[in-house]
Amino acid sequence: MNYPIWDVPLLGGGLLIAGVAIVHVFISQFAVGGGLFLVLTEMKGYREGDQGIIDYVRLHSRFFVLLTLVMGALTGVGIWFTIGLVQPAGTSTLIHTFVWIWALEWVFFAVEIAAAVVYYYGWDRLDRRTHLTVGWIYFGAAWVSLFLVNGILSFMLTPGDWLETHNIQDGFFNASFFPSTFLRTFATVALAGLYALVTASLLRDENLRSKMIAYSARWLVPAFLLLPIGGLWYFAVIPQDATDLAVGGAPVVTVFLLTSLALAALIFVYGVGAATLEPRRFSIATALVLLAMGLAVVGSSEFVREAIRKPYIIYDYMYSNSIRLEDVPTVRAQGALASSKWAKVSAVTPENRIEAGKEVFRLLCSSCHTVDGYNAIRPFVKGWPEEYIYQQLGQLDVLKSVMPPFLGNEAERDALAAWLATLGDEEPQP
Amino acid sequence: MIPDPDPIGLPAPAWLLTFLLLLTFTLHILAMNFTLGGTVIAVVSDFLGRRRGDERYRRLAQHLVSLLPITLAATITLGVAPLLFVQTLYGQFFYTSSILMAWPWMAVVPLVIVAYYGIYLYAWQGERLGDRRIWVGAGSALLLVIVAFLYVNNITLMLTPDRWHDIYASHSNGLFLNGEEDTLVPRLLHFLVAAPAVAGAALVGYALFIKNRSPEGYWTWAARYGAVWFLVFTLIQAAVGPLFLFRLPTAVRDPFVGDDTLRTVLLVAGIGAAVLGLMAMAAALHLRNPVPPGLAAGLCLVASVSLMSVTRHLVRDEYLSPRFSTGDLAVDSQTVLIVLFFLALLGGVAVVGYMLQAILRGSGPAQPEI
Repeated sequence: MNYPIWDVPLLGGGLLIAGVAIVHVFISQFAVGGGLFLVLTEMKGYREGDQGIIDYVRLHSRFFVLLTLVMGALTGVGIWFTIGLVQPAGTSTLIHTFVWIWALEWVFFAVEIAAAVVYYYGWDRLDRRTHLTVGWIYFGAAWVSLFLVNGILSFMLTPGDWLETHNIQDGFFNASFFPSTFLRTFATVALAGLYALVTASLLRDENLRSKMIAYSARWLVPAFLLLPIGGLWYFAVIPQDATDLAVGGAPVVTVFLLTSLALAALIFVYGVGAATLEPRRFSIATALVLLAMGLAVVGSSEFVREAIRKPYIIYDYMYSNSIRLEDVPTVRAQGALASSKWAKVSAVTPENRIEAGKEVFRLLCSSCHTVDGYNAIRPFVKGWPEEYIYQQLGQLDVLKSVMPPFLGNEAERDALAAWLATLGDEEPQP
Repeated sequence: MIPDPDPIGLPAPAWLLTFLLLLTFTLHILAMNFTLGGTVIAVVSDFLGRRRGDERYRRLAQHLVSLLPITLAATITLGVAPLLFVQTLYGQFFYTSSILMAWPWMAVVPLVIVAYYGIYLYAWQGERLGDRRIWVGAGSALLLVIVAFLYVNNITLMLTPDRWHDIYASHSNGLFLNGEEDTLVPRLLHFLVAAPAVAGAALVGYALFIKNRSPEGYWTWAARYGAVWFLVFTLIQAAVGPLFLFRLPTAVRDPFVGDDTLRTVLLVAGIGAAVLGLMAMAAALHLRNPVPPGLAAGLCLVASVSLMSVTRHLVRDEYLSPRFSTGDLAVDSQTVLIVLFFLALLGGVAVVGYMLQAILRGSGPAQPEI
């Protein structure tokens, strides 16, 4: 309402955010658990007096720096860019509520980056003790960074008392904060193992290779024992409507949830099994397949997390289309077109009915729906007469719990129905 | 057409957020100048070394390049903070201009990623690449220049809300660049031209750092070579700066050229610091030991960049002042968190300082042969 709308063809803004965010989570969570992996494995090398392990950690740290400092850091910036473009009002809420949490997170992020650089360049310049200290500083800063960001992410689903108090503590330590911190922490450890399997499988010395493959696979174990508990804890504290969406309310979401669980189980059985029983036959191809499955698990579970929050961007505070719940009566009374500073049509008239309907779609629907691409609207309305569409628009939230009620006025509902009815007649745009 | 400010208001007084915005922006821009200017100097030196068969150029290029991945990491990290504070203070302007040029703005991220990997390639695989590394370095520098261009597009567009309506009417697909903006090119040049000057001044610091480990002929040469880069680009700046100033709309410019004492003094001080730097650096060229005056010139440059950052901020407020002032925003301070932030910042600086001194001192290899 407050901001212009960026039309993202085919993908839609939501999918664009998801694409950037999933890559970021996949790398940045590795950046946390991978830090722990570096120091613990380095310590193991010293303990066992095994130069091969030390050389391996060194090789792994090179890969680690190249991936996390570049892709990890920049996809994080990329999320900022993307959410600001697609959900400026929601982003603004998060920024204004949590500036100091973000600022704190920035301090830890900066320490993390500096520690990663010093750790990497320190292999030849630091004594063991200092080098390990830097490694621990890295892991500590990276985990605190996760802790802080997670307070804001979990807030979006369970803002709880903040809705009444606007108290930052209520918002940050919200109901799903601890279970999701627990979940993410152990996910990072599992990701550390998955990435380590890739670098370990590249080692040339066969004995060392087998040893490090079996060792890396063990990093998967804690996660797969504890994540189910974390998952149950998480679903116990989130809103009932959100749980319902995950377990059947929205079939797509349920499919993603099941995919995530099934792939995770498969990674565990296959990864740990193959790596411990037959480490010699464990190839780089296997490691890459497991890593790709890991990406799919991260992707589908993040998708579920985002999807069960629907129809809100911030639960019980702002709908996905950027309208605050407290503004709903005003928007309904004035109409969405008149409430928007950027609408290309200011009101519905008999002459502009179709064009106005299209603009209403952009304002109220396009944050989730495209016309012909992702979550396309055309197939939904194909063959529906205008009156029927009009009826459906009156009970969107009843028909589908992922949707907000129609938030425009009567004339806008009528215009939107008229425009949607024309979609069924046309061929899809290329 | 200007969106309403966020109803939540500011979680700290506007002056505090502004102070942090300016502090982190200044650090970001210095790191950016060093990285971009350093890439350019490295590429040119590498090329000259090959052409002239002079080992000193190659050595300098190699040392400089090895620092670039680290300073680019610093640039990005230091850039995140001003991005946060500008959204807090000027969100309704910043989000809107970003949306109008959404695709080019999004392109910043992949462009920096590719430039970054190019710089790693140059730094870590330079030997193996041979002379092709010059192209890799030049490519990265070009990508970073494009990133700067996109930033200047957005930062100028956010200041001119009167133009937004027409732009949105024709560009809701987010494919817009602010080419019609009068100040676009001089503003971009103003930032770009500073880059080799900053990196040139930093070479004097480099000369001091390696003084005890290299022959006199090398470190004095390196300091003078840096001085030349500084002088040439600061002289070019003497043309670009005024061009930028006189492209600003009259209403924005006037307070800085006499109408307002404080603003005029600030601009003059910024220019004065740069002139002092020029004089000191010119002296460095002619003295037997170029380092002391060269370092003084570097300090003048840092002072000039800092003063110009403040000036830039006041220019922004001048643009927006008819309609918006951050001082008008509602404030509800989160005092505990503010204190916590500053404590964490102090702790963070201490920890980074500890790590840096450890690596610079070099406490010995982590892993003697076992």
